[in-house]
Order: sequence, then structure tokens, then C-alpha cells
Amino acid sequence: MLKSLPDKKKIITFILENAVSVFLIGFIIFMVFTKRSFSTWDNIVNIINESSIYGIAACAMTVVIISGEFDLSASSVFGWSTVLFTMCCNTIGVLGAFVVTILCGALFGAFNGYLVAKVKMPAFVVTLGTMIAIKGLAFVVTKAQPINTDNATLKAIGRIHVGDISIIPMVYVAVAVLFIWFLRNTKFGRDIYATGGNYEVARLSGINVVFSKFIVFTMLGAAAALAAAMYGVRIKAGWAPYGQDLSLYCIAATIIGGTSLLGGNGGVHKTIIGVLLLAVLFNALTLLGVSGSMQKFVRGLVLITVIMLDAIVAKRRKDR
Amino acid sequence: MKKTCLVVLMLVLVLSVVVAGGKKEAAPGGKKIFMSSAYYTAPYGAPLQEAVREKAKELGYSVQIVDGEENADKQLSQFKAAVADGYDALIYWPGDQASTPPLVEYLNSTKLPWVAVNTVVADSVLDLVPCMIASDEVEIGRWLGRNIVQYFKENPGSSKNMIYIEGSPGSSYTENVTIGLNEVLGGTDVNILNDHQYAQYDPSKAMAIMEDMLTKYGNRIDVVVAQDGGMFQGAYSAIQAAGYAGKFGLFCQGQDLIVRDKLLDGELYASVAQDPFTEGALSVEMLDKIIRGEAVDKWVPTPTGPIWAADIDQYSWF
Repeated sequence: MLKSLPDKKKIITFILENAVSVFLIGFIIFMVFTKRSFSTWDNIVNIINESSIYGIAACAMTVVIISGEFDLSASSVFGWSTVLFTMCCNTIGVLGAFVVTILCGALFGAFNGYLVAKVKMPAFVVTLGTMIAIKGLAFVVTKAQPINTDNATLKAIGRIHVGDISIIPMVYVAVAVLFIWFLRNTKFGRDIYATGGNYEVARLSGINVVFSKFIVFTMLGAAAALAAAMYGVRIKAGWAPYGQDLSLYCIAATIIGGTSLLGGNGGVHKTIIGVLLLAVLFNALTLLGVSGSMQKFVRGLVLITVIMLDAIVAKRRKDR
Repeated sequence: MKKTCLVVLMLVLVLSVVVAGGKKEAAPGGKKIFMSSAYYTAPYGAPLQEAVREKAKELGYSVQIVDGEENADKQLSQFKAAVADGYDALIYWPGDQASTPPLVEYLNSTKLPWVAVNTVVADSVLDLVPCMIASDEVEIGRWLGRNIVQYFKENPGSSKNMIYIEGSPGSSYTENVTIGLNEVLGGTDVNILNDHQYAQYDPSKAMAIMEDMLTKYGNRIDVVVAQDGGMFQGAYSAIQAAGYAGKFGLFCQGQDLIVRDKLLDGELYASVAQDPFTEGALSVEMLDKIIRGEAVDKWVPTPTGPIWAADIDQYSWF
């Protein structure tokens, strides 16, 4: 009896600290027994594909959030990049389209990073402004028209599959692994945690906090552009309003995964769980026959629940 | 502990909502229709989707309608999930034309009966759609133009200046209505004062645009045209607040209750019909025919035409 009490406490602590993963596993088990179609291979592939495009940007958003900032303009960089990628596919070819799109995304990110890190403007104001400006630019360039492409190489890339898995999840996995390695194994990755944890202490410790903040925005710009290029591979079209929910999706996936909005902790591996949870949830709600309006309500409830869990875990850690 | 209990309660709530929500629309036994609606929350979407539900029920189908959120990638995933779940027929309401080819190709690859509704797909894949149920958007624009020409015949003045408020840039509806309007007005001396002003079907944005137009042009304006009833309501509020009510000829397209009231009041000169109930019901009727192996037209137009105050009883209003 005496021995079982600490065990129980340990289990509760474990469940609370890994609540999202526990909820995800529980939900998957619930779905497997409730809906046979959920565990079919076609549906699993669909969930993987669905989570991959936004997942690429979510990895980079996590790094920005770890550094203590966030970026609202990723949606517009995505929308603009779908336009640029499609236009480039129609003119200079697919390889050039990838290079130009990612460089341009990085440039937009660098602009945000410069204003936030160097000029010390609040990220909310800067990225709100660039969000509106970049979307406006995309509307002007396209005269507000959606454009599509018949590029044969792009279609061929879209047809590449390994065991039913398209190229997009492979890119997502590569990006996620790269970010995980970068954050865990490089000094620069650790600098980002330090910058987000306590900016002033990090600065006094000799960390180049300005560069840390600058580079995370640049990486997010490039990742949002890469995600847009993957969207182009899948949908073969570009339009300014595409991806308008990207920023909030990425922030939600990051928080659900367990990375604190306050910065300094968390990780891309956690965000992968958050992205997966959202994808499984969206898919499950559709399979369960839940109407569109109710789906939004449930998604909101899940977000609130996870944030509450996060607050409880943070309080328990503080009390210990 | 209280917080932990609260979280557990929230989780239970989520699961119960999921299960209850799912049970609500499930109807085992009968054939199942799945619809992905890009404009699920748009004012026009609600009555269209309601008509789909009613007609499907009438014909013995169960139906699930989900929000595509104007995101082609999301709609593709939704259709894939529906196919995996064994739905028997599909209804596709696209968000924009450019992104439709991959979805049309996928829907055809499923070999399931399907129809597209409202937003016309890209020209390159139009022939691949088994049945497109949509209004002739260009014709709606032409009717707006004809109504304006008639207004100026009945109310001749020294000028024929017009303010034109459009919907969303890039949407086929917005573009095609403008094409039809310009087709009719092109040969007349009606002068559109403003460059493209997009209110994105948002009454408050239409109100802000109209306020700016009133500040800039004031008494020089003769007529105001909005592409739908919601934007008309916003523009009308601005006109009323600035003390210009009754001074301009007002036009819009739409069959919502605000339009109906303004037609009855005589404040709106005319509207143009595009009936979401008919469109939604037609989409299920055509799908039903395809399921039963009957031939259907490639294009089934939703009826359109002018609505005058005297005719309002002939139309459905939402």
C-alpha cells in the first residue's frame, strides 16, 4: 500500500506530462474500434499526406516559438509562395521554381527577423504588417486571379510514390529530422532555447541573441515557402488566399504538442505529435460523420483542453 | 485536483460531442452522400447545404457535409477520407477554379457517382465533370446590367455614374458577374466611378467601401450596385447614415430576407435571382439520377433572372 502511492503519483505525473501523446493513442484506439475505415491503409496514407504540408511550416514555427516569438505572416508567405512557385513552373521550370520560391520565402522571413531582432519591434506588429503586405503583393501580381500549371515535371514529381506515400511526407520527415538535429545537437540550437528562456541572461552570457532571433524568422520564411512548393506539387495551383489558416494551425500544433508560447522549452518532436493529433482529429471527425460546424467546435475544445493541461503540468513542476 | 477534473471533463465532453455529432447524421442501411463545401459558412452556403440535406432525406439518402474552408488540399483529404469510409456518392463545391483539376481527376478515379456545384471548375477539366450544377454567372451580371439600363430609362438625368462593389477577387462568381455586367454596360454611357472594390461578401467591408465612395463622390453618384445581398446591406447602411437614402438607384443580386425587405420598401430597384435552395436540391437530384444510371446533362443551370417587388412571392427567401 505504502509503495503503491508513489507509483500512482508517478503514473498521474507521466500521464499529465505526456497528455497529448496519451490522448492521441487513446483516441486512435477509440477510432480503431469505432470505425473500421479509420485503420485502412488508404486512410492512414491520407492522414500522413494531410498532415505533411502544414507540418513542414509547423516545424519552423516551433523554433520561432522556442525563441520566444511567433509569426503571423507565415500564412501570407505561403499564399505568395504558391503564386510564385506556380508562375516559375510556367516560366523557368520546376528546379528554378523551388530555388526562387524558397529564397524569396527566406527573404521575407529575414525581413521580419531584421525588424524584430535588430530594430526591436514587437513580432505581433511586424508580422501582422507583413502578413497584410505580402498578401496584397500576391493579389497585385496575379491581379487577384488564381493560376495553375500544367508543368510535366511537376506532375511527374507529384506521381512519385514509395509504397503509396507521396514525396510530400518524405520532405516533411526530412525537414523534421533536420530541425530536431539542429535544435538538439548544435550550439546554435541551444542558443535559441537560451534566447527564448531568458533573453537578457542569454545576451549577458555572450550568446548572439539578435542573430538567433533573426535566423529563426528566416528559417520559418523558407519553410513556409517549401510547404507552399509542396502544395504546388499536390494541387498544381497558386492563389493569394491559399494557406490563410497556416499560421494559426502551426501555432496550435506547436502548443498542442507541448511547446510553451513563452519560449525556452519544447521541441519539434513534440510538434510532430501536435500535427498528427490535429490530422487524426480532422480525419476522425469526418469519418464519424460530424458536421462542419460541429468540427470547428470540437477542434476549439481540444485546443482549450490541451492548453489547460499544459498549465496544470507547468504548475505541478513549479510546485515541486 | 479541481483543474485535473476539469480537464478530464473536457476530454469526456470532446468525445461525447464527437460520438453524438457523428450519430446524428449517420443512417446505416441507405446510401450515403458526402459533400465537401468550400463555402460552408458563407451566407449562400447555409441554405444550399440545407436544401442538399432536405432533398437527400426526401430521396432516401443520408448525407454528411463538411467545411472545405476554401482549401483544395483539405477538400482532397476529406474526399479521400470519405472514399475510405465507403460513401456511395460525392458532391464537390470548389473554392476556386484553378485548384480544381487535381480534385476532378481524383473524383473521377474513385469511379463513384459525383457532381460539382456552384463554383464552375477550370475549363481544362470541365468536360470531365459528370454534371455541373451552377448558375450562369455571366448571365447574372448581364441581368444586373439590364436592370441598370432600365433604371436610367425610367429615371433619366444628366449623368449615369455608378459605384460597383464586388465580392472576392479571383472567385469565378465575382469575375463572371463583372464580365456580364460590363458586356451590357459597355455599349452605354453608364460610367463606373470606382476601380475594383472587393468587399469579400462582408457587409462591414462593403459599408466601409461605400463610406469612402460617398466621401469621394457624394452627389455625383447615381446608382450603387453590390454583387450580393449582404454587401448591399452594408452599402445601404452607409448610404442611410450619410443621409443619401432614396437618392440613388440601388441594385444587387440575391434572395436573402434583407433583399426581400428592401425590394418591398422600394429602396432596392431590383435584384437578380440565384436560388441556393434550387441549386442544392438540383445537385442531389442529378446525383440521384447518376446513381440510378440515368443520363444527365453535363451542365444543369440554376435558373436566374430579374426579381421585382411585384414578383417576390414567386421566389424562395433565406
